[in-house]
Amino acid sequence: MNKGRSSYSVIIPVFNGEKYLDEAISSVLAQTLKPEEIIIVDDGSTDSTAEVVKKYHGSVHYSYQSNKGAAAARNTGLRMAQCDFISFIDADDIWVMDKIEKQMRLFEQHPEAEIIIGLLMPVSAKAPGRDISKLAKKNLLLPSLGSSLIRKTVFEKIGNFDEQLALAEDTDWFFRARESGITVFVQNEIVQYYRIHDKNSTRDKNITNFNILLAFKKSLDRRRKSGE
Amino acid sequence: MNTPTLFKVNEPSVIYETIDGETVLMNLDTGCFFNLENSAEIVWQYILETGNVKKAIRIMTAANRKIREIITSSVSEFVTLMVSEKLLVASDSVAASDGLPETEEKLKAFALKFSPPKMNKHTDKTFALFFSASYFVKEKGWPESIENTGLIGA
Repeated sequence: MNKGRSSYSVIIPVFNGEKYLDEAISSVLAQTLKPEEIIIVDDGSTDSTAEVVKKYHGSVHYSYQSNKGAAAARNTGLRMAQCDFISFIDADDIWVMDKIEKQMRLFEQHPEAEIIIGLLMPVSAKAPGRDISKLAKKNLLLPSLGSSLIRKTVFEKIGNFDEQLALAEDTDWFFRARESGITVFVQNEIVQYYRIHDKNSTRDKNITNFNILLAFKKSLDRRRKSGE
Repeated sequence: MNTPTLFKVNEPSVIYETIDGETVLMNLDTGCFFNLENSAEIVWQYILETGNVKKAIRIMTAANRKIREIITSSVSEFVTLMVSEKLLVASDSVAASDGLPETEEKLKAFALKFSPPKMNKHTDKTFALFFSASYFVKEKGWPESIENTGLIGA
């Protein structure tokens, strides 16, 4: 396996993602800089997710586990990942074609960078047509795993995802990355389309909001312990 | 100009939870996080229950007349600050005429050992995480809500 400086692993955690998973995988395979491996962690799906993945071979690897949540699924992927760069994509999202190529180039230009975060654009799943770029709403910059490319060493520094969090495990992870002084560069380009639909894991705002605030509270407590 | 008496949480822009005894809030529009300290917690709780800041002050000053001016000014300032941060907005109606008995008892208890209500706003690099495209970022570093100083990429 070529694990050169530009090799990257893509981790796709999925739970009942049959509807959009094919598009997500296709957008990764269509990258102008090809992935070394795509690791799909099926977190106990009960729909046809496994069937969707079956038609892919080669660099696509599939791992099934009983349902433990997104954080656990991401961590399973991290344990399997072999490359020096890691990216995640949710099973219902899509990358722009040159996301990784451009982000890898930015790492080459800024070797001190540890995370590159690009912009994401929310798109509605309700409008017809496959050109989802036309459906896009305003750009968002927020710490999103799907719009990031991360050096694997960052996980060694700050740890993996908190499996106690039902949601917002990514928010918690970014809090920890910032507290640890991880070097971040922000890329002013849309690299990911974030699909909004009725099956989003964040659709229950009460649960989402609670977990965001829980992640903040955990960060606050850590900062107090460290004397900040 | 009449000073509002009644207030309510600026929902849905503001989310809040009490976790392990500490109240934390976030304004989703600005991406700022807040935590409450001292008597802020119980004043906030009373506002959630009744919306009536003047009554909260009345209960507390009745319990501790010696420092009624300190209580009045510090609680008023706290509420003014929450309004300026768009965490609270003026309301036309009262949520309930009285707070829960335990809340009113806690107000009195806090008044007897009074510490001014305190709200901490977290907008430093650690906590400012959510932005719209109107916020531009430095080339290097975690996102902050600052003017455009140059971007990498496009």
